[in-house]
Amino acid sequence: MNTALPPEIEEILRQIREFIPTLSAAAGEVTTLLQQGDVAQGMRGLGELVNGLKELQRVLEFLCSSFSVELSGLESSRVQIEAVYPSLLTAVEDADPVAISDVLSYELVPALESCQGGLQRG
Amino acid sequence: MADAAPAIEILPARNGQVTARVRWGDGRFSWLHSAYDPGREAASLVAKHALDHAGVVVVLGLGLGYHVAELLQQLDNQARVLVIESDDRMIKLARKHNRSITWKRITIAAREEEIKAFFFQHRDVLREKKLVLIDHPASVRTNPDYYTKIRQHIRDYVSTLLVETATGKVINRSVHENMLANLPGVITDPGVHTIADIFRGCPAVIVSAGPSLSNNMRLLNQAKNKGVIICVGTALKAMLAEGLHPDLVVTLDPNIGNYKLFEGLDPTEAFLCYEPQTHRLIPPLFAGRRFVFNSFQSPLANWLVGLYGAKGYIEPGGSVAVAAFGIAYLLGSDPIVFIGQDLAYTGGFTHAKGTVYEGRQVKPKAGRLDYLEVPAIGGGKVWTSRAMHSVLVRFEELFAKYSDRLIIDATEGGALKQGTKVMTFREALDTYFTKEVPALEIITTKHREASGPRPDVVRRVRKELENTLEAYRKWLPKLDQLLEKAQGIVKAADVFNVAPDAETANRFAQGAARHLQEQAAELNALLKEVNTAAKLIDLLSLLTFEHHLAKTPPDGATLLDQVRHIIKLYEGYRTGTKTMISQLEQTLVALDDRPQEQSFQTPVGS
Repeated sequence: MNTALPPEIEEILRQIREFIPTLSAAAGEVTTLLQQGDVAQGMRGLGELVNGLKELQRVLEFLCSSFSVELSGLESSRVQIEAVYPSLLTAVEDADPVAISDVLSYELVPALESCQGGLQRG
Repeated sequence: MADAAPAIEILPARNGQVTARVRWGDGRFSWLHSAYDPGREAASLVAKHALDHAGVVVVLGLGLGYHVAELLQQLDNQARVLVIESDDRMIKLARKHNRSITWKRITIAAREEEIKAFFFQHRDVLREKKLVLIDHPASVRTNPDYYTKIRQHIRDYVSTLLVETATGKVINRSVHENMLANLPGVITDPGVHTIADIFRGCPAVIVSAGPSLSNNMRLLNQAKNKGVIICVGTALKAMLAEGLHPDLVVTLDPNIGNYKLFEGLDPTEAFLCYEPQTHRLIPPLFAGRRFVFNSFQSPLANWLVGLYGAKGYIEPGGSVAVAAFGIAYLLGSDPIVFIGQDLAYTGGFTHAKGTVYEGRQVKPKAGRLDYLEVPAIGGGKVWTSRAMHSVLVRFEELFAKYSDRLIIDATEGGALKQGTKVMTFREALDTYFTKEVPALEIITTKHREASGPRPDVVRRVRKELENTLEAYRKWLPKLDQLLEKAQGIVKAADVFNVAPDAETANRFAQGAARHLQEQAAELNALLKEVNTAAKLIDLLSLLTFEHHLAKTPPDGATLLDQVRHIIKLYEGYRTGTKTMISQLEQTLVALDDRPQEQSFQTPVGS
């Protein structure tokens, strides 16, 4: 990570590092609920998860656009997470809990892990 | 599945397994399993369920069976697994693509008769161990109406099966005894078929003894002579205490507790409608004012009905109120109005004021298997018991079947019943009980017309009872001989097991095997001879109910285990035969010299 970053940016990045595992865990919980047939609660959880993802995206966008510094891996992480949305949206539109679970487990969680890895390395 | 069934596609999953998806008519897809890792997904599904002490596991939806394979790995080998799958194509695909399932360990069914047969076959396991119901959510979504219906029916089958088995254990002996003790009266009393349709289009009110009866029973006098008033035995005491008189009283329970409901009652002009299994002290209280109906099937009941002639079949349902409904329907009544039919612990009480159970309360707790919550009249939920719930289910089946009549639930409390119109008793009275219907007078006339001696029937019954009694007397020594032989085998086996050293043990074992084989052959010959008396065995079924519930030895059981089972079963037959002989003798005496029946005018003592 760039050592010249102001302390408030460092603080935001620290919060992101803490937030991403929470999102991953939430994705796991939603997956389990859907796989076990608790669709109503799973979909409520998915709603909260999506809100969290939006928040993460908003902060990542802010950091990438407001600081013309290369925060290592942030932009690519943001793109990677954003790339999950179309397949998640399709699965939700099809009302297909199996497909939603697959997207969360095998696309979103790896994307979040990759983002976290990038931040750690930085 | 119908022609319009969605297509099923089999595709490779990312982990090398195969997966499946359903393609709907509108082009959408629904995955039946994960496209990445179906096995892991199945493990997650099965992990949700506590499988300790699971005796019977029912899986709704097969898919390609990954969850079934996972389940079988975790279950005890003795657990029975039923998989319900509505789509035959899916079963074929699962068999083709999933090699990890031990197919012999599971039963696959779709039709209700197959499902019922499975539960009946494994009722002994259900009594002792837990039932676990597992949805395969993706399969259920392909046919939600079917699986919702099946899920409800499974709960109902199991409730009913457990209640019937528990009830049977307690009452079968009494049923047997009452049927023979009531026989002289049953032969000569008119059947309910003689009053069929006499109240066509007239309203009937069925009075049950639920807690809500206390709120509206006082209005019953306004139904008198405006329709027919039918009460169940439990409510009779409360009615008479208020000076209210029913036209018909229905009873069928065989136990002494039922008699206590009638014991010491004030006189009433009501007629009794009774099933031959009713406790034997009750019919004499209504001497000369009785109708008989037949509800319950058993080899003994069927044999007796064949001798005296059917009296009018009323569908059973685990409660006397169900029989009362059947009688109201038979009478032709319309509408049929229920009061006091809570089928729930309204206000925490079990029964109405004035009944012998007045003041009894229960405090059901969530999570207890014997209580459950059901939708209540007026909204919300109300607690009920598993036994009452099985009656509720039965009522709803009957209401759907007999929807040509208006059925009104004027209980004003308790469980909501599908198929009924809910209104207050006051509204029902004002709307339907508006014309003169001299019910008791009409019933009295019909009863008089249908009554009369039936010497030919009595002669026929007596002759058949005498022949059967003689057959049992001849059969008893054969049972003794068989049991002696079987007990001899067990004793011999014990002796052969005592050997001082290895060489002697070996010689003993060879001798024992030869001896036991000879003895077993002799035992088999005796069994064949005894079992030719199939009718005699059948007629004992109510007395040997518990012996038949005993677990049969599994395939490959040792000779000794089989012989021990034979001893248990045939000891039951022997005891039953002795009881039967004694009861047939008493019935024959009663047929020759009818006991002086005591009516309400001369109440019997306790």
